[in-house]
Amino acid sequence: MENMTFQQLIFHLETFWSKRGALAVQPYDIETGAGTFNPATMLRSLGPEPWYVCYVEPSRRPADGRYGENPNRLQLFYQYQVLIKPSPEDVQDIYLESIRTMGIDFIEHDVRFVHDDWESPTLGATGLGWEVWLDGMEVTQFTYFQQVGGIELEPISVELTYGLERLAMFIQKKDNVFNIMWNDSLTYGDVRKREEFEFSTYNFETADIEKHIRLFNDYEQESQFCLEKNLVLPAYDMVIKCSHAFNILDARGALSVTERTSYIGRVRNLAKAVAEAFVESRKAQGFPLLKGR
Amino acid sequence: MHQAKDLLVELGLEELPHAIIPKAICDFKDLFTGQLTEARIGFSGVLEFSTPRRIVLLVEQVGTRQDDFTEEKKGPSLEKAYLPDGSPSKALVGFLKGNGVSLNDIIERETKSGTYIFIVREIRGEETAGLLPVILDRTLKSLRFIKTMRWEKSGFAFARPIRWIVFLYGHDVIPYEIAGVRSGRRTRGHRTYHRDAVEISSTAEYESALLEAGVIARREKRVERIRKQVGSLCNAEKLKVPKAVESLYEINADLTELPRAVLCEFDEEFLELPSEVLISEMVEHQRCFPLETESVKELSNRFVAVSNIRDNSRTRFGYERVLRARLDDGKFFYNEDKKHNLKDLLQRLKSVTFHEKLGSMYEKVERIAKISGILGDLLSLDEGQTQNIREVCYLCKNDLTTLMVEEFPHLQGIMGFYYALSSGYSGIIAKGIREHYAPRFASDAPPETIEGAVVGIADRLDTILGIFSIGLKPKGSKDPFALRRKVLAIIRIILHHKLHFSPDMLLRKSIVLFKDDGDELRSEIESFFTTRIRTIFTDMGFSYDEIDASLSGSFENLYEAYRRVSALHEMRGDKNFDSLLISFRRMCNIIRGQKVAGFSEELLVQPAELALHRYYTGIREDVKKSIAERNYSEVYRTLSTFKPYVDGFFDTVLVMDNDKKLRNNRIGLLNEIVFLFSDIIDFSKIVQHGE
Repeated sequence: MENMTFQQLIFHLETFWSKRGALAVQPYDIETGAGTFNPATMLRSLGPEPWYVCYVEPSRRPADGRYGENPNRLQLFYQYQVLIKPSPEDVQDIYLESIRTMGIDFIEHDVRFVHDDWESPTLGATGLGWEVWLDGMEVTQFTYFQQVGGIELEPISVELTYGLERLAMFIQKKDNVFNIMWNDSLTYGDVRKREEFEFSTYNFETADIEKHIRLFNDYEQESQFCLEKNLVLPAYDMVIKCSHAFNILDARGALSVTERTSYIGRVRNLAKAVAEAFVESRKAQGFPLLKGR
Repeated sequence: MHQAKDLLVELGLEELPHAIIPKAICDFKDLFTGQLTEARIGFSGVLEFSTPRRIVLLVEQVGTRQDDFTEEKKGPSLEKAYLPDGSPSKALVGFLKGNGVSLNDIIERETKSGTYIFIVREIRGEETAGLLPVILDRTLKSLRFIKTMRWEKSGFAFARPIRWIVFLYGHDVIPYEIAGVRSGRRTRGHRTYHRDAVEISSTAEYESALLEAGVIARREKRVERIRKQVGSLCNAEKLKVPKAVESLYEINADLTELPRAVLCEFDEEFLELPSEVLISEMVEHQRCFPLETESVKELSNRFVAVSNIRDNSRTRFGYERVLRARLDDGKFFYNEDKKHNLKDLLQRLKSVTFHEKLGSMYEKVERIAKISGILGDLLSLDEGQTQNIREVCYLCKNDLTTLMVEEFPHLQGIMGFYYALSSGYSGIIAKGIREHYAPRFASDAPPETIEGAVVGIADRLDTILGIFSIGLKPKGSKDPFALRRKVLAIIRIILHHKLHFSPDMLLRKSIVLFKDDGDELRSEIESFFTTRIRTIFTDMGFSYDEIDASLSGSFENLYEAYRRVSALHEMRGDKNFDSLLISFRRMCNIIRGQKVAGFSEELLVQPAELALHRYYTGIREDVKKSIAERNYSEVYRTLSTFKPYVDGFFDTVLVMDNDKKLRNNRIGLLNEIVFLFSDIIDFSKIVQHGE
């Protein structure tokens, strides 16, 4: 098999998972720190309704930017996210099949599930699982969710988060992310390098601290306001926006350690309130996805 | 003897965290065999196997039935068992009913407290096969892990999902079900080499069947295999694995089912990074073996990765790429951190919380500086040392906010060392920063520099005083701030550096930083220290009576207490000396509670008491001089020469004479003799061997 381009890798995963019954949704239109923040994971993992979804998620980590100069670090990268509720018995095997069918031969390459429990203090979420290693490189985070928004889950969802750039680097044998072939003619660097530079500059040097503190406060209030009006989904959007404003402040070095803890706590409180309201709302709708089961 | 068959139980799992495997298999074995024993099922031995995907017990020669046993139950006493007319009482009827027996089944038996009704019956052992499901069930439900998870609808919690169970007794499957998994005879092989199920037809073939399926089931065989492979790769390159990373052999064995080592390398340019950073990057994230040159023990740019497949011809590129990315990061952190002068990072500590009730790290640093100053005065350090210590205090925590320490918290102090050097500080200052954390663990060496020693004591004492002062002293096994370890470290540093000072004084002068009225706190901390002093002295091989006899005054000068107990210990074991000590203890006992009314030479009458007194006055000044010079060995040598006089005295003289004057005078004499030594030994604490 020819080595997959970056976009072929995405097509492959879309096809692989939708063939197995996953609903292929689209990236969320708000800056998220990870695929987990997308309501298709964060909210849908809650409650008794089954859910099986896959999507690409552009993930923003302002503090990880390196102005496009580091071969492995980006302030925005792409995750491929799969969430399955309830978790199937053979999920490890299905996952391995998705990797094997990328053209990665396990006779030649060492694949390993290495203990890595996951925790998102901002989402009040925890899970147990692994990072998946390919010849020592972490290419996927594999997690059985236990708690989201402070709520113990039942049934349990399993979340697979593929690091698309890392997989592409692996498949294409590149040691610089910007050299990945996005399609047959353009590289990842052609498409994104300038973006990394400008956003690193913005995140580290330019973003207005006062404004972002204000934004954080405004989004926090708006979220609470939405909840009062029983508009759970808009309330959650505001949680994501808070989280991003916090990430920018963090990258700007504007927060002391104590302040940091306090901001994280504020986002978590919002996330918990939203999570509870979401379960209530689904319940009020009669858990529609349970029908016919 | 019943017949017996081997029993195999394999728990097939999604990959267990490597760190919990050794304890998991050990607990599994203990609980399971404990259940067998409790159920009176015999067996001859247990083999254990473990890989990331399975924990397995092979119990050998398990009896096919429980042992028979005689059950005895005691009922009411004979008096209470029958009514006057001879018919059974309520108590007896209840007893019969409760045990489902009739009057024909009971006997009367004499006991110490009278005659009682008994039921004695032979219980025939049940078939083992029928009991095994319950035994496994209880075992699995009593296994404990630090973290557990749920993954299916029964809600059963375990370390990782259970995916299959092999449960064989001889050739037969024992039916059992948990978390939706039914037992059977099908196991799974290596993920890559054997994707189909592996049928185990009998327990005996388990290990070989797995080997054929690409799995080395015995952990110790995998450890050995990694050792051999790493060893031969090293030999070819004249390299070796540093001692400090020995645990990697077992970690890698717990990460693989079929380990294979491969030699890799990284760019030499990264060798400019501190070796501690390189080692952390290799070991902590990637579990790779760093290598050092055999001759000069310098870190090499080679390393060994351990894969879980046979053919590493393609994997090496991957391992090298991953490490390069990590080292790139490390280099970035290192260079970014070095852009600051270490001293400029002090202000940042204001935003790092030490403890919410005890303020920031900045405030802690200020307290460390004060306590170090107090200690420096007590030790009469010279001006240069005092200046250095002050400098170390205001630098020692500054690396906490560096990128490298945020990435690798255990490199605190070590990065401070490097950043101090790159900021232009002297080697002594840099070393003081690094060493103030030493000893970091039980087998670690204490600081070499006095700077590191003093600041290390001050830092720990600050934490101890602080945590005690907010009421969070350790309780039982709960010691979240590791205060016990901190006290032990302080004691070790004092002894190692032979620091002569009064811990009591240090405590009194430091405690005001936390409390105005610190008397209660001080006595709590003193006894907290004293317990640890005993622990350390015991670990050094001193017996507890030697410690007790020498410990008084230890809080005025701990190092002298150590020298006293050592001197005493050296003399022990000599029979004559030991029995002499016992005679001295006898003197103490005689004096105790008596009013000592002075002593006069004229009242000595018997030859033995005259001799004892004469000898005592002869050596008295020498002993006083030796004590003043703290020459304890000399004191004990002199003490040992007392033997014939003391023996003679006790053999022929009756202290408790009927003549009150003589009696009081003798007590006075003994009191003087005991008193002469009382600054260095409390004879009353001495215990005779075998007492």
